[in-house]
Amino acid sequence: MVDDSSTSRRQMRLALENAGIVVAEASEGVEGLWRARQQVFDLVLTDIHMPTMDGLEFIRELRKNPGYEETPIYVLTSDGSRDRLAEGRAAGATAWVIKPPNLPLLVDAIVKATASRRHSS
Amino acid sequence: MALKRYVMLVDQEGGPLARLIPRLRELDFRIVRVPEPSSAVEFVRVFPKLSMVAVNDTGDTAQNIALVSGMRDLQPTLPLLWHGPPLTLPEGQRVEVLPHENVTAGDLVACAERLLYQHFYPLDFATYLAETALTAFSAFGAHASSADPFLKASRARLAELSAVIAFSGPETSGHLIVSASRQVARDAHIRLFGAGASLNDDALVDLLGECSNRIVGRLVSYFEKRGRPFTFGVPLYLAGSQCVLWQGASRPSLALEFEGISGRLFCEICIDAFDPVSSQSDLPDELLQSGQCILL
Repeated sequence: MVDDSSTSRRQMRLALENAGIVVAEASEGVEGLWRARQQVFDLVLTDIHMPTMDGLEFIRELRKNPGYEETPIYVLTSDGSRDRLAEGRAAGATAWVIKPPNLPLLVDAIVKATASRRHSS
Repeated sequence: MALKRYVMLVDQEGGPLARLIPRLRELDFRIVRVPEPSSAVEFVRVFPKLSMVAVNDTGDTAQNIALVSGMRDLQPTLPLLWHGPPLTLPEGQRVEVLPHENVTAGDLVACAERLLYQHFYPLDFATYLAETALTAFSAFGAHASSADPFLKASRARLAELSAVIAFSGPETSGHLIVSASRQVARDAHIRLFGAGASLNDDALVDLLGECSNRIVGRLVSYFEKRGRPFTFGVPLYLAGSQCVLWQGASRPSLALEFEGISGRLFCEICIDAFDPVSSQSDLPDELLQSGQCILL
C-alpha cells in the first residue's frame, strides 16, 4: 500500500490484516517502487496525491517492471475528478476507488483478486 | 444555514456608528461593540472570527494611529473601515475610509460588501462544504453534528493544529484548512485506532491532513462539474498557536465551525475566484461518489 498519510495506511492495514492479507507500506511512489523491486506483490493499492512521486507516475513506472505487467493496481483516492480517473486508466490502473472506501466490499475485492493471482501463478 | 459576518464597531456609546446597527442586523451581521480602543486591539487578538472592523475617530490623533496600527499589526488583511479625518499610517498599512460627514447605513453596507465580497461564497456551497466536511470527519473518528458558517477575513488560525491543502486550476485556486485542538484530534485518533496508538503531533496532523484531503477531493468533483477543474497538492501541517499562515490571496475565507464530541473542529476555504451563477445552476449530479469503485 502506497499512501503518504499514515492514518490512511493504518486504516487500510487493519482492515486487510483482519482478512488475512499481509501488507507492506510505502509513503510515496519512489519508496513504493523500491519495495516492489525487492518483492513481487500480488496487488498494489496506491494513493494519487503524494510528494516526490505521485500515484500516476508510480503506476506508469511500476508497469515497466518485470512481474507487474498484469498485477492489479487499485487507486484509492479522494480525488473525484473524471479527468484524473482517465489519467489513471491511461497509466495502467486496474480500479479507481473513491475515499472513504466501502471497506468490507474493498477488502473482499482485494481478497478475491489476490487469491485469483496466487491460484493462476 | 446562514453565513454569519462578525463586525466589531469601535465607538463610544451614542457615537455615529451606532445608527448603523439596525441595518447591519437586518443583513445578519453579528455586531460586537467595543468602546475602548485598547480593548478593541485585544479583541482582534483573541477573536479570529471577525469579518470586518469599523472604527470611529477617538478625537486623539496619536490614539487613532495606535489603535488602527495595533489592529493592522495583528491582522494585516482584516477589512477595516475608518470613520474620521484622514489618518497618516505607517507605510504599508491602509484602511478603507468612510465618508466622514453624514455617513449613512448605505455607505457602510456598500463598503462592507466591497470589502467582504458578500456574494462570494453562496450558501449552497457552504452547505455542500459542511456536508462534505462532516462525512470526512466522521470517517476519521471526529464525529460532529452541526456547522456554523462565518466569513473570516483575518489570517488568524482557528485552532492549534492545522492541515492546509492548496489547489489550483485555470479559473479556480485557493486553499483549504482543517483545524482542531490537540484534544479533539487526539480523541478522534483514539476512536479510530484505540488508546495504544502513537499520539505525537505528526500522527494528529496527519489525521487532519487526511480529512482535508478527502474534503478537497470532493470539491474537485463539485468544481469540475461547473467547468472549473483544478488539481490539488499534498497537505502541509501547522502545529502550535503561534504559527501564522501567510496566504497569498487576500480574499476572505468561508469558515465552518463544527461541534464535535470533544470540542470544536474548523474547516475554512479561501477561493480566489468564484462564479456564483454557475455554482447555483441546476446541474446534473454526476459526481463520483465516496466508496464508489470503478473498474478501469
